[in-house]
Amino acid sequence: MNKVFKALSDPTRRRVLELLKRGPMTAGDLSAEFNVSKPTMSAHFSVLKEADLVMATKTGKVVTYQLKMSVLEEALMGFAQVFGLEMSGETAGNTPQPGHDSDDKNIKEV
Amino acid sequence: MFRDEKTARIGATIVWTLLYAMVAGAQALGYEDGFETILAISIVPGLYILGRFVLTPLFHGKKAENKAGFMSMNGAMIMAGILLIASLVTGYLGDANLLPGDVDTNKRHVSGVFMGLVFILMGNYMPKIVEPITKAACDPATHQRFQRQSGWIFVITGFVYTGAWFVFERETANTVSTTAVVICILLVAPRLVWYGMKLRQHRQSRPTNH
Repeated sequence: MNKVFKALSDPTRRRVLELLKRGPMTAGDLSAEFNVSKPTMSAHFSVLKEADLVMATKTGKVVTYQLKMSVLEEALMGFAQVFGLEMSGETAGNTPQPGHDSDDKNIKEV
Repeated sequence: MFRDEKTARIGATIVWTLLYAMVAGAQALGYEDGFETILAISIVPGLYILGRFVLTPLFHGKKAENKAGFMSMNGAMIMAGILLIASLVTGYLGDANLLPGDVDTNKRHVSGVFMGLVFILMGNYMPKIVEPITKAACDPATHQRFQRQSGWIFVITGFVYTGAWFVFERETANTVSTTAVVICILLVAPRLVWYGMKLRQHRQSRPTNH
């Protein structure tokens, strides 16, 4: 559950989940919606996958993401959006190291 | 608890048999009131077994693997166990005059509250049980929307069901909870059958995928 809270605490990741509510999207299409580098987006996707909120399907070189949120997780996301839950300054201030995709602490606030 | 097909199958059979044996034993001792209780207690593992071993192989092939299915199996077993224990404890407390009111009515209220919780749990995990995009038979966006809507419908039904049995008298609670379940089924079942048929057609038209 801690991973879910971590994943939902970031506005970018919440926006990714909002976009995926419309339907499955490719990593490229999702990245195009944000003004951040692809490695940073990749790190965000890793956090979401680790929290089991999205599922990735690879077809050739294309990775498609689809939503995998329970009702409770969706409700939590709603609360997080309403109350503007965000990462603590200490965590958000860390230097991003996109090479280490699975490490949430390495994601920079965008 | 259950990590592969074989252990899940063995676990399901053992737990379901044990549940029926316990209910039959309790009934023989005079603590339970028969068919209605057996149905209430076995509905969760029963639904799981129907879905896992009958519907899933029918729609997805015999080798279908679904970790979320094993997760729901664990949840279903735990809920069935809690439901059984709660029902038995209520019976004991009622017999010992530690609970006010009629024993049967109390047991029905406890069963009702837990049945509502089962709906909430099932609905909560429903959107989690997703197929890889490559196996989607119909429009993935529509299918995803259907899963999310079904999950919410089940959760809301569960809250209404639990609330009704928690707040109202037996007759009113029965009417409210039954109405909620009928509405839930009417909203979900037709589309569920439609998607099931589409998935089966898809599987038959592309047998090499499985």
